[in-house]
Amino acid sequence: MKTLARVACTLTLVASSLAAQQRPRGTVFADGAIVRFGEVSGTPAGSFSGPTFGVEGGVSLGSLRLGAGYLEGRVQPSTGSSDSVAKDLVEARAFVGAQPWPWLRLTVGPHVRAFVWTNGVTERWVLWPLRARAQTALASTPLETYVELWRALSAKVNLPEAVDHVQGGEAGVVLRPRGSALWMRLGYRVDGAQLGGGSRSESVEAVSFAVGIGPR
Amino acid sequence: MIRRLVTTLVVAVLALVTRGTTGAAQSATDLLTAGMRSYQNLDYEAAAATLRKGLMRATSDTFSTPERLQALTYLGATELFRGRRDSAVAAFRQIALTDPTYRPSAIIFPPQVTSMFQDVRLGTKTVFIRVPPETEFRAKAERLTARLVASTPHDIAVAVTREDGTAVNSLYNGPIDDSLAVTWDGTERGDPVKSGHYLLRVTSRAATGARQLVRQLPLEIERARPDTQAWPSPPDATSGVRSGPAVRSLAGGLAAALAVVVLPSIVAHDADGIKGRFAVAAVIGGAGLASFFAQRSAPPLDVAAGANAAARDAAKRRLDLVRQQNAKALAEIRLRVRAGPATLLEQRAQ
Repeated sequence: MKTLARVACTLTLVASSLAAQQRPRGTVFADGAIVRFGEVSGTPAGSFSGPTFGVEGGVSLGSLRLGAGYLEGRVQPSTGSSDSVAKDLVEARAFVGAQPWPWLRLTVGPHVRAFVWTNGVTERWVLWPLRARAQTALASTPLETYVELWRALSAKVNLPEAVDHVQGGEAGVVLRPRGSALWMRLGYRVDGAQLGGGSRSESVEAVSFAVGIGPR
Repeated sequence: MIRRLVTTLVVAVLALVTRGTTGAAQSATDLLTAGMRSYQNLDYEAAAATLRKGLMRATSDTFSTPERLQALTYLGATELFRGRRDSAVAAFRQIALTDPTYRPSAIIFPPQVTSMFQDVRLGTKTVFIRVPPETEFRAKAERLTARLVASTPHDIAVAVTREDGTAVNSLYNGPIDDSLAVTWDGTERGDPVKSGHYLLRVTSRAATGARQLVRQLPLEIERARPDTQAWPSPPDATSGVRSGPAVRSLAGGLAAALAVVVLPSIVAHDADGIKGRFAVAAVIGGAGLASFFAQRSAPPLDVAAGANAAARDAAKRRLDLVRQQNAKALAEIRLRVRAGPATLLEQRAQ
């Protein structure tokens, strides 16, 4: 937890000093995704999929970036899955970030994820991921590509197994028409958690499409 | 034991202080009343002694300014009728130095008293300063105004000085009748003054060698922080004409496409991998390829450079405009001036 606090403070201080004399710029986007959730805990494996919808907003002040997002949806058991009960997926996150170079952005902040079974049981994750995102413009086109990798500095879950690690990544392409504040993003994201010394693992992946306005 | 002793002492001290203040107030007021009664009974000896004792005992808490002026008027009149003209002049002079608008009542006091008071007032050359307790203004562009009220027409010199008397700015040299407004633009030799303690000094001119009165008002001046605009954002590196080698774009696109394909096996060994991610990878890879070929068939470098130069020039113009406006805002320094109570000095004219 001390490491988290230090990372957040360092990012805030570095970004605050870089943000001096800058005008704040806001951004907001809506995101729809097809999500697949898989879990392996002995055999057979459970697999679920379904749509999710979310929104995210943020404010950039120079190199400092603050934001928060929320998404929810329902995943149904896939054919051949060991589980036959649908789950609601709810996620919320907040972050503070800095952009030390134009092509690199670092963020950190709490990320809460919950799976709610229709019988009321809830599996709740609380993560503190440190994310690094590299992005580059594709010359002569209004496109950008990006790759993001993250690893949880701290992870807690209300399962009997201890969390070994949680990590993830995302990659995609962004279309920003010239002279327009609107942008569109097509991306793929995946994360995996390992628990109980490898006795259990969970993964969530999604193909998402987002439409936003403002600087990314 | 100690606590009881301390409590007793505190109670005793409070009782003494309360009694002392009340006693002084009653005594000073009683003495003023008694002095006025003695004056009306033509017992000038008793009136002078009682009024003088009352004035000596009075403080600003026990006597209001009108009460003090009334006591001084009765004392001056008493001394006049006792044949002590110098003492009468001294009493009336104190009134003239305190309030330029005060006049003894012609109903209560005979013409000898009122005419003598008038002579003393006309001979007492002093000026009263009226400045708002707190003023904020833009140095050079706006001005601080001080209203001066004279006891009698005479020549004055008005200046802003430092606390040690060093001149900062001479505001006025010349005659004053009833009143005069002087202004100051907050500068010293053309530049806005720095934050600090200053004095507004009004010297009532007297003949060389004679004693002259100087009324001075402390001014606490603080430079208010100017309100400047934020610097404009630099040109967006991801908008407008794209630059950079075609290979870098191709590499960026292919790297992102490859990441989509291999991410599941890197970060989540057990993930099946959505088949739809290959479509995403194809789109990203296709975008990289499109950029690569578009770059190869891009307009000549000088055309692209021209467009980039235009964007840079526009950004530079925005920056220059904000810089100019900020420079103007910084040049317009705001001064916050707090005025303190005026004091009176007497010095020999040079």
